[in-house]
Amino acid sequence: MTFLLITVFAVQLGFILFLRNKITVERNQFQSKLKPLEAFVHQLNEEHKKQSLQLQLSEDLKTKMKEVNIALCKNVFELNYQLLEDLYPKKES
Amino acid sequence: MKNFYYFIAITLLFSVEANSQDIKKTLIKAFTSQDSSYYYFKIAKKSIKTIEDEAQYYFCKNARCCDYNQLDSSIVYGQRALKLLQNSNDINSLLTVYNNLAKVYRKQGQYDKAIDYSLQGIRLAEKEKKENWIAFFNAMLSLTYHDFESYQKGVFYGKKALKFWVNQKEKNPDMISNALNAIAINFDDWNKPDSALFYHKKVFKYYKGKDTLYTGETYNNIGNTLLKQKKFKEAKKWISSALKINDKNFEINNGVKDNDYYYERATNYTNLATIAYELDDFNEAEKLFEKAYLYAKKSDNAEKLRDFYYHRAKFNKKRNNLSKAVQDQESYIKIRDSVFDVERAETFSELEAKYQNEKKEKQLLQSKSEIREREIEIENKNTQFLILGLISLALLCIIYLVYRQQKLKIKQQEQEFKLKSAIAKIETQNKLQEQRLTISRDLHDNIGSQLTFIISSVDNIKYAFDIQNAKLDHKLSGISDFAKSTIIELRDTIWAMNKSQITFEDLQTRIHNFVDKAKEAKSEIQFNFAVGAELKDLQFSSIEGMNIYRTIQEAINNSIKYAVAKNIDIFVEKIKDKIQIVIKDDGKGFDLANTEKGNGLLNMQKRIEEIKGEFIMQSTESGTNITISL
Repeated sequence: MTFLLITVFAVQLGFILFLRNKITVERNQFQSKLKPLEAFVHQLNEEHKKQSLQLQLSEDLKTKMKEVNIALCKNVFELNYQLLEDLYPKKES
Repeated sequence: MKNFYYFIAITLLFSVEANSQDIKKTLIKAFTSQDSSYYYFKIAKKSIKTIEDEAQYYFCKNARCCDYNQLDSSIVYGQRALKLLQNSNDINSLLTVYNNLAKVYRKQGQYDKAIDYSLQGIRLAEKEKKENWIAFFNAMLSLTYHDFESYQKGVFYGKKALKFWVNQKEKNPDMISNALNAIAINFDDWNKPDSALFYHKKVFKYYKGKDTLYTGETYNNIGNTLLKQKKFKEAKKWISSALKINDKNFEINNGVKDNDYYYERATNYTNLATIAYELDDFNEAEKLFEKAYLYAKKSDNAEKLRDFYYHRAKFNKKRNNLSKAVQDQESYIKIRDSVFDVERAETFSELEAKYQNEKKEKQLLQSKSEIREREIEIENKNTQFLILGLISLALLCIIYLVYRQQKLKIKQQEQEFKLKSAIAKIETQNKLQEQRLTISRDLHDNIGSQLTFIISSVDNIKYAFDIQNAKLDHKLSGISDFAKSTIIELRDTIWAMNKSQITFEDLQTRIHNFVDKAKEAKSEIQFNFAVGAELKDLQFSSIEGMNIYRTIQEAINNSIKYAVAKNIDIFVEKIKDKIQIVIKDDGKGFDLANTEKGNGLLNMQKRIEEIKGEFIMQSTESGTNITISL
């Protein structure tokens, strides 16, 4: 009986060690599987960040271009006005 | 009973090994033969080859002599057989020899020796765990103690034997009857006739029909008890019946005159003679006493002779034949004293005490070993409980580990799912942003080409038409310059957009280009631009780089446009863990408190704050100092 119990206990200990080892192996496997995914996410984030910055710059440029557009329009208007002013006396004569 | 002993002896002979087949057959013939026993024993003796053969030979001689009342011979052969058998493994033969020797010594009235052999037999039987032999020896002790007139002990041992035989699954009437008779005769001579009759009559429960032929002894014993109760006629009836049964048995046994034959008749005739003289039939009594004497003498049994002399002395006394009475009395006393001397009684006690001591020691050892066994059992149980506890603990561990494993698996699956979802989400966002950036790039290209078209158109107008109007010429130049500066700004932005990281070295090159152009426009201004060597490889994001570049550009522009400065210094250095950019001019400065901040200043501040930097502007009459801390 005692020997049987000792055998059962030994088998259980073996099973515990097996389970522990299995958990560690699975964890390591998952970590190694996760690393490329994380690296990929990181890469994507970097890409995303870069694109965001580019978009932000683009947005800034867009604002600037609007200002430029207004300024150019104003300049062209003033040029036209000047041209008309210059041409008007000619028409009167 | 006698038949039983025959059975044992023959069984034992059959059980001996094959190499002694011849001697075995011869010994069986010698043991069972009526007339040629001596002849066969002689042949058997010649066939002895081994010690075992010799032991069997003496064992059979002992048994034969015992049965045929050759007491001294039986003792001699028994002692020889005992020596040889004690070194062998033939336990049953050894026990039989002990029993025979006890029986012979009992007949001889040497009760101490009879008891000694009985006790030796019990010890061996107890050692070998032969319960039936223990019961045999107990019955023998009961009879021996009866003969020794120690009735209490006789009853004690008789009851022990009876208990064993009654508790057997298959009841053996011979054995039960033997034990019952032993108890009854002890009670009878102990002057307890009622108890004696009780046990005697129990015998009839086990014998039915023709088997009652085995109860001759019981008939006689009942008669004997009734005789003591003075119920003479009734007693005579029982004893006469016993005599008839004995005669019948003698007839059945082919007229074999063995020990029992003489013993039984000696008893019957002594009792009948006693009844006769008690009934005052002296002639009949005398005749019967004569017969009784013959049988008692031939039985060679001390107890029988003692009883005979006792009763005949009483008879002669009653007849007033005093000389004969004295003679018989003397014979009686002689036998009694030989049997019941003090020394022998002491030997009895010593033997019994020795046996009891040994028994107690044995019991003590047994109880010690039992205690030890129990202790070992308890220890084993404790160990088993401990291991069971450990097993339970291990089981809990296993359950926990399995649970943990499952939990980990679920967690990993969730984590993996989240990660994949995030990847999918980011990928979608990136694709969207990519699309937006593509559109933006197309737009920038479009704007760039349009601005180039404007510049080229304006320049063409200027050169194609000879414009005399200075104002108009100025306006056209203004539009061209404005478009050019916008293209530069557009290129700067596209440059920043195409670079994910901008180093100080890149910035330095770009600022140098800008300063060079500014120098071309304002050659009187001295530009000093210095960047700490350790900062050259420092990287910024495109937004940070662009904001720093635009801020420096704006500051220089402001100094060129409004400060009327002779020197503009730009220093970039590392102070503690911060980067400090200083743009300083020695122009006229302006009153910070009373001057409204224009778009340029506000934009500078906003750009620096956007990249989490600190923007400080100081202006005095001797110049303006802008400090940017990052």
